[in-house]
Amino acid sequence: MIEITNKGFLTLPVSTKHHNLQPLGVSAGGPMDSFRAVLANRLVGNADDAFLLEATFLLPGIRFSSRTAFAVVGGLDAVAIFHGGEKCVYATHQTLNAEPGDELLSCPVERGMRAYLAFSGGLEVKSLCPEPVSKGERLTTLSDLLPPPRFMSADPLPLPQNEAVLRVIEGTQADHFSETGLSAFYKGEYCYSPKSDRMGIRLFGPPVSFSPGHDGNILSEAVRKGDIQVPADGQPILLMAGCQTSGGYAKIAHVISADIPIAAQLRPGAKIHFKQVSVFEAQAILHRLARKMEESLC
Amino acid sequence: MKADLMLLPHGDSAIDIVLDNVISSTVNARVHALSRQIQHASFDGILGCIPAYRTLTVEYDPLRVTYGQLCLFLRSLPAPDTEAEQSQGRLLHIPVCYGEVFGPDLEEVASHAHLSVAEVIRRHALPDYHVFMLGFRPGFPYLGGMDPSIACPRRATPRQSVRGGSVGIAGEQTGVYPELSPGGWNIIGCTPLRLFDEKALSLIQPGDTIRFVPVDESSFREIERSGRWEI
Repeated sequence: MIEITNKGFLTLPVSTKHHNLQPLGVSAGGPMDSFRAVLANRLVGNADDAFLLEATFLLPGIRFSSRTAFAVVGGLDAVAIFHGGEKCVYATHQTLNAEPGDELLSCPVERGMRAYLAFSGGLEVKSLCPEPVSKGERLTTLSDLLPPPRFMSADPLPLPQNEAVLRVIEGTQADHFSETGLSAFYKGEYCYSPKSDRMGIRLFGPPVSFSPGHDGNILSEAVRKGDIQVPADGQPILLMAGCQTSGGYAKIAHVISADIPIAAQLRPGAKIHFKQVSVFEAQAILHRLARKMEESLC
Repeated sequence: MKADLMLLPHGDSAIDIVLDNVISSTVNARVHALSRQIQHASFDGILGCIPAYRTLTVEYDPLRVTYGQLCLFLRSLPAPDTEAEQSQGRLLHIPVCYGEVFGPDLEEVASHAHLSVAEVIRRHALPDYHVFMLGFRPGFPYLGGMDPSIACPRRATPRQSVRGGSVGIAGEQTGVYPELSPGGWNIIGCTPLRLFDEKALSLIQPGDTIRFVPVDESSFREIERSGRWEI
């Protein structure tokens, strides 16, 4: 069992499990940076899709009421734990063991935007659409067994600074955009708007124009994380993990799976460029990244 | 006969099967038939199918199956039996208490349509509505088949909160809000049935047909209390 002593800024229980209820209108949800979520779970011996916490900007404060292994993966090098009245500092990106009464102290995520906290056994979460945690809330960990310790020797996907080139596959409605519109999109620089959230990253930059006979509206169809849709004002929106299940705006491109974690770690104000690759290249890049993830864990 | 499908990569982890660009229950039945067929085939690496008006989005794990392999599989499928699919959907009777506190915009809709309130209710409850897809929010049905004579533009100012079960009209569309949410639709009535909860999931499924049945306030309260209703 763990207890939230400080909720941080926005701390959400998430899982990469595919619930497959989008046909009923339930958002796919899950972690924004699913790669770091998986790495955190592997450090504590969990299944890749066990529930864990996603901390945005600030790590939450957590008191442990039983022996628990946990791991922190994200843009911070160390965490502090109160242990028997003493403050101890430990490196992140490794298995850490907490004793009953220990408290992990809240602290800022220094680089990137989101860090992941996994607990041995995983968290028990029953809701389809979990709410952010609040102070005093208790969460059950599903195992008291401590896994063999592991650590990450290298970061398989370095955190972005305040700019990134996101690789994309041509959109399913690419033909709804004019030559000028497509060229604006691929040559222009877009800025990550502060009016963004887990549903989507709003971008502002060179407006994207439509081809004759198109205005950005389409018959509603499924939308997914990574889709870049363009409403009538021509300013693209990159859909992220919390996006709704259907949308009626034309999609100019889709960010490749390997680059979605980069988008998830950019902060408002970041500068973004887009570069087109083929679906075959995208899948080869993903395979290489999966192998690097395996190799980074010792 | 092969299905002869138009396939588009929807990013690197999904494929869109794209049918004719029209709102049609025949085209939509084909979408649902394909969805059933693909899920039934349980091809390794396919995670799920998301049906919409005229597209089916097939999600897959690119670490287990490649785009090329999946295209080959989808192209090998026999053409689905669309007629059988059209008879698959259920006919659901949804009780609705129209007007008063349940439908604060019913009079506005009536005056916009130059009809009496009773006539708006009659025209709304008359057709069978096809459920093309669910989306936007959990359990929210995209319905087709409303009589255009009762169409009414969205409210200029959306309400901050609309109670769950509210039945509304926006333009030529009608729909039901499954849960408390903000909304700009004209609310003409409310159903006591729960459209979505986390255990039973969605009462309405894609491909179903819906008929609205007018009930009075005491029946509404009784159904709300007992949960009993012959759907």
